[in-house]
Amino acid sequence: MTDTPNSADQASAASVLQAILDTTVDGLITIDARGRIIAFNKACERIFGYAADEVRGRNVSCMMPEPYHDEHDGYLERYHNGGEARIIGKGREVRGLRKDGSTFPLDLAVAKVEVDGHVLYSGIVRDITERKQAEAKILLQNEELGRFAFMASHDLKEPLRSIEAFAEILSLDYADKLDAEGQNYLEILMSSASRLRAVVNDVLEYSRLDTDLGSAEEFDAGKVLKQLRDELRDQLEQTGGQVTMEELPVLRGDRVRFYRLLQNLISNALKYCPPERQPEVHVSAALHNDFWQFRVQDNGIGIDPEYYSVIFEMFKRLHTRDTYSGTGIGLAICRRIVENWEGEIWIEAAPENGSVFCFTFPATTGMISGEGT
Amino acid sequence: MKKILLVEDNPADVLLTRRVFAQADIDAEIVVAEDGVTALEMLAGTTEPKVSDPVLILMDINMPRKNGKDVLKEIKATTRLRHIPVVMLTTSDAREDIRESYENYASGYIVKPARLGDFMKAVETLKKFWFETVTLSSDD
Repeated sequence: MTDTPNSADQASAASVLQAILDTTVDGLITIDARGRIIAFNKACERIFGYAADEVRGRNVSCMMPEPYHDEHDGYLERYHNGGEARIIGKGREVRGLRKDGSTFPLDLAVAKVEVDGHVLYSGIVRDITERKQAEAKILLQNEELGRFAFMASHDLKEPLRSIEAFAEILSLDYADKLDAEGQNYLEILMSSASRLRAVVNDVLEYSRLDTDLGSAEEFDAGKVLKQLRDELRDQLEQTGGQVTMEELPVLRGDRVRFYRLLQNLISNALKYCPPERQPEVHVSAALHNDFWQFRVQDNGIGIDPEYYSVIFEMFKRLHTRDTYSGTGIGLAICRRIVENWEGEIWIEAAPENGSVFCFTFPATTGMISGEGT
Repeated sequence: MKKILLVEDNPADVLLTRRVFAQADIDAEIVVAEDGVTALEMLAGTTEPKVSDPVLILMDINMPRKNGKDVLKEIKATTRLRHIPVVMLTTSDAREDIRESYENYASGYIVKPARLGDFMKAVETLKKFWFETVTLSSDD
């Protein structure tokens, strides 16, 4: 007995391979170095509407709409001559052309194969029409939800303002006519209205984050932080808190949003600090390839690692209102701001007490402002 | 007596504005138009009470029948009325509302403050500017 396959075995292996190719859910097309179709499986027949016999020997560009159709031969030639590979070895979303003339989105992954010194290209094709339709639907629903949140919160503001104003008038002009119980009810009314206003404002801000995009400008992160520190002066004096920083970079992007992000993170750091401790916040940044990684470290109460992954979700609160007030939207706003410039935000434990909020910002310059203190 | 035309459809806001103006001791009578169409009719003298030449118009934006921005446009397109300063007084802080108002010659834009004290401050500023600092064309 030897392990050398005989011709019957080879024929059987070829049939098995053919059966696999024909039952594969994804389309498989093999072309030669000039782009001519050599093999076209059943899934391809279903996806493109051609029988294998109709397309064998034809140029694969017949299944590509413009501009892919005209570009394909040139692309293959450039690749042979050592040019850049746009699809080969990678995979990409392109459009396909069916026999009936209709076009559709498809995921295409192409591999280079060498058989007996001949170069072939084997493409895996997946029709992603349904996925794209579902994505478009989700996008539309998200837009509608955003509009709904904007309108709802905007329309809530007006009656809410009246509730607050008249409750205040009651407390100013009529407090002495109310007994202790009545005054207590009035205080509850006022504090509820004020909490509702905070929520409405935050929901409104959140819903505007994707639409009211500010213009990109060059700004000094150190100067932004100093401006914020000035704004927080009263709060820092009351708590004996300190905000320090290392040298921060010069950035290019939406300065207003960057300010808002730091404002949220630093206000949180000052708020979530045990009353007996003086809050200390330290901001630093380090360049990692093409982005800056910022770190906002505090000495506050810290966050249980169990909540690291959920803390940036909308309306997620970890404390009762009596302990620490808040709307549960602030960090969701932070995440949305960072996502808008395609950055990331996460939390780490501080070496001793507290937390470190980290976020990234695209680096357009390697410049440092020299504003550290 | 000088007249201020307040164009406001929300009775609660009318009450509030009257109170704050009284507290600020502004020497002018507040006449209310409940919507934009009524305001234009009162200015034209076709609806009572007639307010043909108010010293100042305070204009809400979101109102039934005709919104404040459209009323502003019509006032500024009317030769007899266009000298009257129109200050927008609205809940809306939408960028396009603010921009559009100034583009149509609003003399100011105040977002109705949430807190009574802040509203008072805004009205005090309004008083200082329009009734103590500037000279209005309708002043004698």
